[in-house]
Amino acid sequence: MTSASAYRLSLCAFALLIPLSAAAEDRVSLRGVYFREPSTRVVQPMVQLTKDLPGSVDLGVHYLLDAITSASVAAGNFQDQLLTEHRHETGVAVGKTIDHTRVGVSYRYSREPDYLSHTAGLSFSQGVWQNSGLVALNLAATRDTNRPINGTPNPLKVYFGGLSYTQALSPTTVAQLGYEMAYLHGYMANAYLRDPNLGREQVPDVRVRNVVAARIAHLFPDMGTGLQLHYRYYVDQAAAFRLFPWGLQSHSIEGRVYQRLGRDFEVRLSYRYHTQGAAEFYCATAPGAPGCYGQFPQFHSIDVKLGALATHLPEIRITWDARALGNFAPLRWSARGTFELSYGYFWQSTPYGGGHLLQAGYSLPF
Amino acid sequence: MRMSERFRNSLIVCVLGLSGASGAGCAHAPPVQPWQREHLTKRALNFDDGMETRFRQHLFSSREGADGGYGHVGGGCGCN
Repeated sequence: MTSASAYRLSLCAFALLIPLSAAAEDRVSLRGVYFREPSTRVVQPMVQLTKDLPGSVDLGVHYLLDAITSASVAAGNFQDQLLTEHRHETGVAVGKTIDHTRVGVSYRYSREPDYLSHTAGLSFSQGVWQNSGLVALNLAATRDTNRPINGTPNPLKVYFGGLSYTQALSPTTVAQLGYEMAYLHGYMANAYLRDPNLGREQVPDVRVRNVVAARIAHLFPDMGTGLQLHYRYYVDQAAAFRLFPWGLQSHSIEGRVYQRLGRDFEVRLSYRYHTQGAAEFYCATAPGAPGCYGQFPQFHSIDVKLGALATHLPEIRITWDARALGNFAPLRWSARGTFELSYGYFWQSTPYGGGHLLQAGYSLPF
Repeated sequence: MRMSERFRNSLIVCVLGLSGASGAGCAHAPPVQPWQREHLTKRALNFDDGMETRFRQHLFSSREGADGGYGHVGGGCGCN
């Protein structure tokens, strides 16, 4: 490994806010996800490749496929009919490191039958305080087009900015603070949701998402135990200094315990809790019931994710550094890799119900 | 004192203050020396979940109304 690679790896050890695809190392990663809830099933295979190039340049590419089979409310399907659609996503990221500074550009393309998205990104990170800390800035612009079946195309523009500061507080403690803002302008309604009384939902065409996040991690090296605590506060605005008619606020907190088991295994137990209030124009009244809105409301939505809700996600993940495979000649090539298997149960207070989340992955440096 | 002078003086005080503060920070040794960083690459001290983040973000953005906080732009799918 070159010294430039080692430096970039140390940056990546700190930098959760650097886009994943910018992580610099010669590595190929495969992952499969299976998610199942009463009305929706998602199968998602993905592959990612990162490669160091001459001149302290790194390259990352990824591809993933979402195969979504749904009869969910979100799809506007209230009948017993299953629909399957595929979303293809691919992306490329290029970065260059000069001393303690890294600059990167990225592009992401996503396509599904009724949705098209282009995203261009710019990232900048700077090691500070003798490289014990990292300041990261990410900017992105997205152009989406929602093309409902038998409907007219609806554009959406998104401008994103995120700033974070990560600092090693001690040899075994790392903390991070971050702020993100996304300005969305355009069509944000669900094209398939219809209020029985008012018809197609109407939501404002400007939305400003604000997120403040804090994370801290501590390791007890002698016990092989690590702890992480994440907190995130979210608030929607309709414009600067004006919350409503969006006004949606949320708190998310997650705790993680990492435990090393022997030389090659690690178990991670985690629990995430999310709670949010409703957007001002959301109405949870049963279909057909009067009095939920006035006679001619400017905005209205029955999308349950804009209502007050809570979710819980307990999860277990097992990671295996596959060094033991080095003893078997046919599999020796895979011994430098890492296998990962996780299971979580996504409990929701909304009609979506509970969901089983299973992930399996393998990552191999080369 | 004219407004412009007051503004100029305030600006000088701010610049000097920030310079002093940053100088004081740089003068201090970092909390972790280069030879003390062996643990910082451990998973337990790394907030980057790698590819795991992708589906998580997708799941949360399609089932919760509060997207973001993952360091990069979300969306890209019909789940806003």
